[in-house]
Amino acid sequence: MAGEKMMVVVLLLLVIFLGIAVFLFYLERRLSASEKKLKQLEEKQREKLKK
Amino acid sequence: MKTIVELNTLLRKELVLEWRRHSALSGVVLYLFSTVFLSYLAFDGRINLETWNALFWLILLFSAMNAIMKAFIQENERRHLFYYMMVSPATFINAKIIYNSALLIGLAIAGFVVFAAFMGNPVQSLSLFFINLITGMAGFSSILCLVSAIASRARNNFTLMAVLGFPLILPLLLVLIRVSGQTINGTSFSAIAPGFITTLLLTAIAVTLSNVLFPYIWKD
Amino acid sequence: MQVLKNNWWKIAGILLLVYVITGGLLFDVPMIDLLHETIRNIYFHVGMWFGMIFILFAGLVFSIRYLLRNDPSDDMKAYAAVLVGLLFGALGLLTGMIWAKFTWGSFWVNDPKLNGAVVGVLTYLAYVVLRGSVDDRDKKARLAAVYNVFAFVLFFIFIMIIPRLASASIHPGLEGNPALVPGDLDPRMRKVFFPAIAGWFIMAWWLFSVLYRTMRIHQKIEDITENS
Repeated sequence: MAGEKMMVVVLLLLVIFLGIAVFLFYLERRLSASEKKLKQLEEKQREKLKK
Repeated sequence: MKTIVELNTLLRKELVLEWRRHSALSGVVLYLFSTVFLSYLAFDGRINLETWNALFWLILLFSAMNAIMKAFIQENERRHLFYYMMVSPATFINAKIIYNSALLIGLAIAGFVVFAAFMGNPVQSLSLFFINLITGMAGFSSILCLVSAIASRARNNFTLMAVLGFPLILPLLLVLIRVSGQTINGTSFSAIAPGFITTLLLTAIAVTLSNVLFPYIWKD
Repeated sequence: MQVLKNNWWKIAGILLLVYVITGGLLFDVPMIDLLHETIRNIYFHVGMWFGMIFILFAGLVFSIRYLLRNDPSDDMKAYAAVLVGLLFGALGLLTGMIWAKFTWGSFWVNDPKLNGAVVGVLTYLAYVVLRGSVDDRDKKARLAAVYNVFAFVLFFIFIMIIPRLASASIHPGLEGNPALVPGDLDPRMRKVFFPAIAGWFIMAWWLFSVLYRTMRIHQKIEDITENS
């Protein structure tokens, strides 16, 4: 019985931790997208300045 | 040799300036005296040894903060530019540290006299107490001068100085209070040696770091 | 494949910490008086404390590099590292307090090591306040870098010296490096403890890189809106 309770705790902690990890990966994907967009914007601005 | 001459000149300049605007110094002295008197009234003269010790150092800490805050903040910008052209930044910060050490030591001794007059003098190893006091004030000055320089560059007031300074000064303060407590109960030099060496070590490191780091922030 | 190539260390970190959470809570540990099962906290509390020191040290390196090369991105990295350090410090304090409640009977005791931890957190909070009170970007970076170097050195002397100086600390590991001295830690626990340290280091670095990228994007957006 005590062993089962422990398993539940471990599983819960794992779910929380993996949730954080997945969230971080999701954040990184969004960051990459933003970085890409910004790069394009910067290039546009640079062209504008040239003109 | 050149450094020593420059140091000498800078120290003399600090003294002259201090004399000319003595209101700043008398402000700090008054602050010290009134805090002592205030705590005398608040404690109603009944005070045990630990409280005596802690109170004394806290009063010193706040007075020292006040005294060193004006080290950089009160100098005006244009005069700073002039100093920087004349001497190297390291010499400049060293002069500040030495001058403020002397100032704090004087302040601490005066503080002790007044404090003892009001609250009684329980210190048994008086000479060791003063050794600790003097090295401690040199330590305060060497840590707080750079903090004061940073706070004045940030163009901020006492709050920033306190926020930046307290966590850095706290380790030193704890060592000083411990050693000071020992000397109050009577002790020998060998018993306070570890604390004493720690104080010297912290001071030496703070001075070295100030010399290395100050050149990066002296230009505005 | 490219995704895997860039992210293998993150996946390794995740696997390590999954192993630490499972093994740390389920494997056998030596039964020591007073500690009992709470000894497992070493994987988390000490691991996070090491993670904090690691990332704060990285912050120190970035600050020094900023002073030497004047590259604003170094300053931003130092800031991100300090923020992650603060997070790990807070988590370390939290896990320590919970542990203290069960071993010492109260969440907080007056002990040199505990006080040292608070001083550390206060120091780096002061760093954040300092950054907030300067507007000029270049000046802010310089002052923050100088303060970071000064604070790091003083703080680390503090946590190295004070516990040795104090006659009594009830916190384990009087020599300053709990659990690292050979023979101090049961081999059964080393099996989890070392992976735990590696895992927390990776986690700290990962969080740091995400935070830094976020800050860099914010900065760029600000620059673009200012220019246009």
